[in-house]
Amino acid sequence: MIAIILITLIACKKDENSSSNTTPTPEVIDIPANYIKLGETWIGGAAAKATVYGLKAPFTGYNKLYTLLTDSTSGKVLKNGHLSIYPEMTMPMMTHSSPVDNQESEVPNGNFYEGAVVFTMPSTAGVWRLKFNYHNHASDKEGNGSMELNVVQSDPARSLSFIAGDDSSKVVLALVEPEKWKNGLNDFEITLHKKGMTDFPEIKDYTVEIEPEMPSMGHGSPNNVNPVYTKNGHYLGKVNFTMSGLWQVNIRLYKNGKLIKDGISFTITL
Amino acid sequence: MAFHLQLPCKKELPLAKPWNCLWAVSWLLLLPLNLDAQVDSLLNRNQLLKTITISEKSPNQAFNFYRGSKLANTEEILSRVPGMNLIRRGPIGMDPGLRSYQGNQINLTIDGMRMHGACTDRMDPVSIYIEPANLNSIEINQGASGAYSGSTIGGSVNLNLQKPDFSCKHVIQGKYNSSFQSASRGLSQSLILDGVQKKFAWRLSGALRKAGNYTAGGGQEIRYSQYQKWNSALAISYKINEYSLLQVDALVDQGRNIGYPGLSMDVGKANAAILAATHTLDGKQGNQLRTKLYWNNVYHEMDDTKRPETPIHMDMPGWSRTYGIFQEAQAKAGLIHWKARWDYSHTFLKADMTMYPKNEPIMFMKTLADNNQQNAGLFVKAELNAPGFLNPVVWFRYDYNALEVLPGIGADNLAGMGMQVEKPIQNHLKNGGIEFNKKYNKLLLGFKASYAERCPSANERIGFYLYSRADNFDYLGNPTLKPEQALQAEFQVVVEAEQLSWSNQFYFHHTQNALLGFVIPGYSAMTIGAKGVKEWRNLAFANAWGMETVVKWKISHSFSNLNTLRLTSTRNNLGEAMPFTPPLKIMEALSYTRHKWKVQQEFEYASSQHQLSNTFGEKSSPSWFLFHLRFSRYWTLKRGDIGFQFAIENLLDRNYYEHLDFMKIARPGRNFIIGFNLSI
Repeated sequence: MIAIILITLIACKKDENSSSNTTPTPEVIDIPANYIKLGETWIGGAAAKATVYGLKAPFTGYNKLYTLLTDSTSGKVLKNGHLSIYPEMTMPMMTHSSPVDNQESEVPNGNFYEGAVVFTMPSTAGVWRLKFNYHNHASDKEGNGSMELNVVQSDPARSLSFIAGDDSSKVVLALVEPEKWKNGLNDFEITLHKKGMTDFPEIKDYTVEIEPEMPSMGHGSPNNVNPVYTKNGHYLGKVNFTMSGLWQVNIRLYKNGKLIKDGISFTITL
Repeated sequence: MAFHLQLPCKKELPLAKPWNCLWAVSWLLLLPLNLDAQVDSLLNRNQLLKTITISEKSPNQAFNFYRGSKLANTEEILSRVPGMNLIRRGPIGMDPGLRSYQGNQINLTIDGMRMHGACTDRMDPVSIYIEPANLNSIEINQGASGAYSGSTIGGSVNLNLQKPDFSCKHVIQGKYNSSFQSASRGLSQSLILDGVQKKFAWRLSGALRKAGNYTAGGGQEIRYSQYQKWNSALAISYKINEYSLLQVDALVDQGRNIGYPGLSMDVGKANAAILAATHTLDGKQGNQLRTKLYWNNVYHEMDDTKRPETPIHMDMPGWSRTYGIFQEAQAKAGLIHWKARWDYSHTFLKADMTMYPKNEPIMFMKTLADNNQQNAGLFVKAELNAPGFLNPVVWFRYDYNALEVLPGIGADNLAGMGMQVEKPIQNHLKNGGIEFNKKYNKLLLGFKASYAERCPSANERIGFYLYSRADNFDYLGNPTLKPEQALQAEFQVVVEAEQLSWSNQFYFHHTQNALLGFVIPGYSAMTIGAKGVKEWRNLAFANAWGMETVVKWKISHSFSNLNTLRLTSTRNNLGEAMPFTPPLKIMEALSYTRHKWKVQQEFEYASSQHQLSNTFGEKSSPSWFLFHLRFSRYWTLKRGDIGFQFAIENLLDRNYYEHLDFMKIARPGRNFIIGFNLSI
C-alpha cells in the first residue's frame, strides 16, 4: 500500500516536473476530418479522459468508435493501456448489452483506440450508455467511466435480430458499412452474434451467402464473394455493384450445410 | 474491289453538280465498261485489286438513275455498291458493312480522318454525319487492302468531302435540290453556294431532311421510323502558289428525333462537328505531299420517352472526340511508284446510362468507361510498273494502338468484374500484302495475297453491359481479346469485250481469333427483358468466302443493261456461319437513254438466308424481290440547268425485309419519289 502511494507520488511529481518543464500549451492532437465527436467522459481511477468519435451520429447498427484517451491533467495522449467498452441499454423493465468489438492491442492506432458497438435498438426504447474501463499500463492505474449516447433508428436497417432455424436463440446480424459504397467491388462485411443479456457471443460456424439485386430492375451482379468468418463474429466478402442506384443485398445463412435463415437483406444506395 | 466516285476535274467552271456523287451511283452500273480506263487514268495502272475508282465521267449525265432523287442519303448511295451491305436499325443511321464484315472490322473514315460514332449501339456510324450535298466521292477497298488508313480485315470506306474548285472567272453559283417521298411523307432539301476565284474558293452547303413514319408494303405503318436532321458544311480552298494548296473544312450535322424501329430506343439528339485543315504540296510527275490536321466531336443522346413499352425511363448519352494528324506522300522513282502515309489519332470515348425508377433513387451506369485510344501507324506501298511484267504491288502497314481506361466509376466497375485495365491495353498490328496483275488482250487477271490484323474496339474490350437488340443480350467487354488475324486470298477475272464486260471477283479469307459473343452462364442482364449476358471471345477461326460478279451489256446506243450478283459465305470452327452473313443478292437494271431523258427499270432479288449463327441466335430470313421504275429529264438553261426526277420504288408494294435488318422490321412499301433540282 505504501509502495503504491509512493509510486503515485513519484508519478505525480514526475508529471508536475514534466509539465513545468514543457510549456503549458496543450498538445495538438490531429483529429481526422471525417470524425464526429460523440461524447466524452472522465475515467476517474485511471486519471484519464475518454473522447469518443464516430463516423456518423450513433445509429442502430454497427457503429465504429474511435476513442481518444488523454491524461486528465496534462492532456497528453495515452498510448499504453487497455480499453474496454461495454454498451448498456437501460429500459424500464430490464437492462441489456449488445455486441461489441474492443481493441485487443494496448497500443492505439495512431491516437485512437478503435472499437465498435452494434446498437440493436434506438434510444427511444431506453437509455444507451457506453461504459469504459481503462487500465493504463504505464501508470498501472485503472478506472471506469460512462457516457450516454442518443442512438437513432437507421433507415434502411443496418442491423437485424431474428430467430435462426438452428435453435430458439436470437441472432444479431449487422452490416459493417464502409465509409462510402462505390461502383465496382466493395468489401461486404457483416457481424453475427448470439443474442444475450450481458454477453453477445460471436457466431463463427455459419456459412453466409450473399446475392445483390436491383429490385426495380430485377437484375443482380456477378463476381461477388460470399463472406467468410474472420474473427469476433465478423464475416468478410465482396459485393460488386455494377451501377449506382438502390441495391438490395440478400443474405442466406447456413449452418452445417443446412439453410437456417433466408429472406433477409440490407438495402444499399449508391 | 474498290470504288471511287468522283467529280471530273475540269478547267472550266464546274457546272457539274455537287451531287455528282449521286450520279456516280448510276455509274456504279456502268462500272465494268469503264473499269479498265478508270483504273488506268486514276491510278496509272491496270491493277484490278487495288483501290478502283469509279468516276462520274460525263458531266452531261444529268440524272441519277439509281435513285429517284439526287437527295438520296449517303447510306442509300452506299447500299448500291457491290459487296457492300448495310445493317439496318432504322431508316437512317445504317451501319455499312463489306461482305460479311461490319462495325469495327472495316475502317469508315471521312476524308481519311478517323471519327467514331458516340453511340454504343452503333446507331451513328459516322456515315450518318455526311450528306450527299457535301460528299464528293466514296472510296471502297475490300479486305486487307483497306489498310491505307488503319489496320483492317474487312476493308475501308472513305467518304471524301466536296471541295470548291478554282476558276479564272469570279463567279458565285447556287444549286438547289428538293425531293419528296410518299412512303414516309419525307421532304429533303439542300442548298449549295459556290464562290470561285482564281486562287480562292469557298463552298457552303446546307441540307435538311424531315420524314414521318414510313409505310411498309401492304400499308403497315412502321412506328418510330421518323427522323429529322440538318447538315451544314463550309469548305475553303486557297492556292498559296502553283504547288501549294491549303484547304479548310468545317461541318456540322444535327439530328433530332430519329426513330429506330429495330431498337428499343430512339435518338433524341445526334450532334457532330468536324474541323480539318489540309495542306497539299504538288511536285513534278504527280509527286505529292499532303498533310492534314483534324478534330471531330460527336454527342449522341438516346430517347425512350416516346415508347410506351419502356419499363423505366432512361437517358443514354455518348461522347466521342477525336483529333489527329496524317501525312501522305506519293512519288515515282524509276519504275517504282511509292505511296506512304503516317498517321496519329487520339480518341476519347465515354457513354453512360441514367435510369429513373419511380419512387426510388436514380440509377447510373457507365456503359463505356471513359477511355482514350491512341493509334499511330505507318503505311508503305511500292508498285513496280514495268511493261509486260506482272505489275507486282507490295504494301505494308504497322499500327501501334493503346487503349487507356481513365480512372473513375467506369474503371471501378471494370475492376469489379476482375478486368485488368489499370494499365493501357497495347497492340502492335501488322498488315501486308502482295498483288499481281496480268492482262491478256480482253482478259484481265489479278491475284492478291495478304495478311491483316484488326484491333478489337473499345466496346468489345471494355463495354459494360452494352445491350444488343439483335440477339437480346447484354454484352461485356473483354480486355484480354487478341486481335483478329486474317489470311486473305483474292482472285479476279475480267473479260472486256466491245459491248459486254464481265467482271468476277473471288475471295477466301481465313480469320484466326475472330470475335463472337458467348453467353456467360449465371450472369443476370442489366437490361430489363434481355435474355442474359454475353462476353466477347476469340474463336479459333472463321472463314469467309464468296464472289461478286458484274455483267454490263451495252445492247444498243440507247439501251444498256447491268447485272450484279453477290455471294457470301462464312463458317467458323464451331461449324456455324458468322452473324450478319448477307444472303445471295442479285441486282439488274435496264436503262433507255434518249437525248435529255432516261427511263430505267430495276430488279432486286435476295435469296432466303439459312447460313445462320446459332451462337448469336440468328433466325432465317425469306427471299424477296422488288421492281423499281425511274424516269428523269433535264433542261439546259442559259446558265445552269434544271432537272426533274420521278421514281416508283417497290412497285409491287412487297412487304419485305433484308436479312441484316434488325428485328426483321419491314422496309418501305411502294414509294413514289419526286425530285427537282436547279442549278444557276
